[in-house]
Amino acid sequence: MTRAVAICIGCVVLGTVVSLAAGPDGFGLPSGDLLELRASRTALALVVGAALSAVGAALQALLRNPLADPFVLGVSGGAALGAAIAQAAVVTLAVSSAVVGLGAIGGAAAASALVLWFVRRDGGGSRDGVTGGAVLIGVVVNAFSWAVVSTVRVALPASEAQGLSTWLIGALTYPSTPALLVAAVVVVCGVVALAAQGPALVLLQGGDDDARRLGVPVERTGLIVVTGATILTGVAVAVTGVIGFIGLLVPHAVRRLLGVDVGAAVWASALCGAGLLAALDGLARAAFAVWGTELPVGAVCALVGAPALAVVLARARP
Amino acid sequence: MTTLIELTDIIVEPTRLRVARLTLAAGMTVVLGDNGAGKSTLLDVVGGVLRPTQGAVSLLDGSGQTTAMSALSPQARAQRIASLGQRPLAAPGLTVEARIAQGLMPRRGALALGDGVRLRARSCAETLGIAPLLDRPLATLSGGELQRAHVGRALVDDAAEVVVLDEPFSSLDADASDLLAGALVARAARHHIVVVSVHDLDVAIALGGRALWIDGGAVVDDGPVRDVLERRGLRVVDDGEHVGVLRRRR
Repeated sequence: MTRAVAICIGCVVLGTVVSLAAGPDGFGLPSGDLLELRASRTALALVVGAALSAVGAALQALLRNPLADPFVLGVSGGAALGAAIAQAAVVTLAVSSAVVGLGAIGGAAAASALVLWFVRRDGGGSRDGVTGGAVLIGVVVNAFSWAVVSTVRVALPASEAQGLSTWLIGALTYPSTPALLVAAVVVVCGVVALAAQGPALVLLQGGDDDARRLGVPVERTGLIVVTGATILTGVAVAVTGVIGFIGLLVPHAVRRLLGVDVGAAVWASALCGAGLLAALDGLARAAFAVWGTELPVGAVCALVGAPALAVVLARARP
Repeated sequence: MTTLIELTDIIVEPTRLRVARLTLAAGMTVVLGDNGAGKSTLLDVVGGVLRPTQGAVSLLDGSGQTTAMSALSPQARAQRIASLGQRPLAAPGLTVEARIAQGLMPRRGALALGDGVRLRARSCAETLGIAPLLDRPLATLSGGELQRAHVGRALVDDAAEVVVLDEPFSSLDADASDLLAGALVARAARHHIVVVSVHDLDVAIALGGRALWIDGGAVVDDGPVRDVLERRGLRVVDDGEHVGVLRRRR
């Protein structure tokens, strides 16, 4: 356990250093306003990476599905759909931009409800039943989100349409301090709530029936985890757009360190995911500086995560 | 300490279990019947994991206090009643020791395998003959070994006053069956309520105590095991050294 704690803390420290130091001119700690800007972006990466990874760890345990991740299940796609529609409303109807976050959470909630409906329809506690339907509905939601966001883009003036692309391929920007603070507080509370379900989630990995016999309030646990996952994903998408696969990769790696302790896996995933996303963002910024641009971190995660998903799929179905 | 479980006017849809009145007292109760008769439904109601469509299940303790099953929180219920379903599952990465220790979680609320927990798990595993397997992951076990690890999860908490097991003898060989039967009889002898469904009538004889014969969702016979079997047209042969149940040729 001590080794696992050291690795988690090391991930956060390393990710923070890389994210702060990596820039167009190579590696070196900036100063003044640039340091302030980098620090806010690094903090955002830490918050979003923690949220998505903790959600992945909790959902994989709840659904007994190694592919469960907010992106694969379509929860991120639903959030992007809600955020994009809300963004369009901000542009065309001049409503407050605060509705974007609410739109993201609403979209994530709708996608979560769809996933749960399919899981329950497929047999709930059965190990075989949960794997297929939940992932397929993710494919459906993600495809639908792409279609709707693309349609909204076409309908908007070119000057306004560009911003909508953000929801489809996540990118870290320089957030306002209030937005960052709100996101950080929500994510910390959410991770605490998810980790607190750890003992129940361990028992749920044996199916609803066995968990119920061991005193787990199965429905309440599911509601807490799904609500927490929905809010965390909604907040993450609202501030960065869809960043896929981080919630898939990190919990898989963490489980190799920690075994079946889901509560510890949620905490460790949050810390390692925070560090990993911050590091990837820094590296993406530095690697493309020669072309005078930077790769969105969502694209970097997809480049790494898509092959990893293929490996997980291959192992899950021998 | 729970001394009685009372079922009153129970109806469970859609399995059509009907129980007008049934009292389960301390000691062994063996639930018998053909496939689909309603044994598992009855055990789920007794174990508190299935809420009947109609009727009430009550737990009476030694001081005469009655508690409705529906009034117990899931954790409080699990502390009093240790139950195991017919096809239990667990995370395949768990070791046998961790699986057995899960049975202590309703009382301890955490998975940490401290010395006390390890000792209890080992003692339970020894009773069931699986102590050498304690460090093995569940995914590497045979069917019978896995079944004993699951049963160990249900038996490890000595403080649970009620034990409800649905076909715990399935997949077990003769030696493993004898060990489990011995453990259950010992538990019943400590004035715990032990309710077990079995298909193997020789095992029912070995467990002894009271038998309920279920047919079509109703308790159609109730009495000492041997009496019930004989009333069902079965013959119990006991020459002092060998004992078994003979079926009439069809």
